[in-house]
Amino acid sequence: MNVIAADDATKTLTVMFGGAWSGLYQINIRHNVYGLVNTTGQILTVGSNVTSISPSAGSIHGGTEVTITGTNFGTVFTDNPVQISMLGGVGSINCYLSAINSTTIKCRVGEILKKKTAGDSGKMVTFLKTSEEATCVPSTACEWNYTDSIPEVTSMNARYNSIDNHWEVKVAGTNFTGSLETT
Amino acid sequence: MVCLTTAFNESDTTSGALSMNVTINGQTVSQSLVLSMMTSSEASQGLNPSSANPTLKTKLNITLASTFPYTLNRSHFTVNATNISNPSYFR
Repeated sequence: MNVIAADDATKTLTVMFGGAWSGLYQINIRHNVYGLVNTTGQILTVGSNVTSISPSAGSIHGGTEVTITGTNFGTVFTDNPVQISMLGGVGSINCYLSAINSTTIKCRVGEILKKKTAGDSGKMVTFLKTSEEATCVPSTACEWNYTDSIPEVTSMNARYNSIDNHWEVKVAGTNFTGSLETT
Repeated sequence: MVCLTTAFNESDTTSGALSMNVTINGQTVSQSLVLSMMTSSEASQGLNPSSANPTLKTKLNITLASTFPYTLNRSHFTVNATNISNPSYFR
């Protein structure tokens, strides 16, 4: 690792860790005159965990927005691609990121061209760029299920509101949830 | 010639001087070098953050003991992270 700064006032070294396979790493420090510094207990944990996904079930058609909670995520969308995998990579469904920070990813499940059946299940896989996957802790934390218990539109009616000078559309159906939106 | 040693066993090194054997290309060098060890070792006090993403660059701050006897200069230090389960893999 490159030592990029040394602050004698605070006796602090700043080093740049460039990445490594997941695991536990012992930090070793050598001074060119003093020799090895005792670094017992200075352990760097390299890895990324997913601790929960919410919701853990979504529409058989896709489109569900999912919040993934965990550790050591990146800061730009391309750092952590997300897919729903069903027994391997073939047929995986992308989950398109809309927000990301070090502990939270928000993504929306892509359109599912080959319709799923209620009860189909898979695993929400959070990739660490291309080489590794985030670890699910516990192992069930990434389980994903498809459901057909989804909103259904039964009718739509539009009328012109001449007082406010706009169109109003009344949508009727079942299983609507969430807050009322007027736009 | 400069050589780097691995870490000493602390219980073996505070008792006195250590003699050295020098072998170059299989030939034993006649010498009377003696290595005396310091009676105490300086320890690092902290690592922040203590976890990092496997694929992203991360700045790590390592705090040494306030009693560290040398002025800190980044060019004087070598730092690595060694995989505990596979010590041949280090960064």
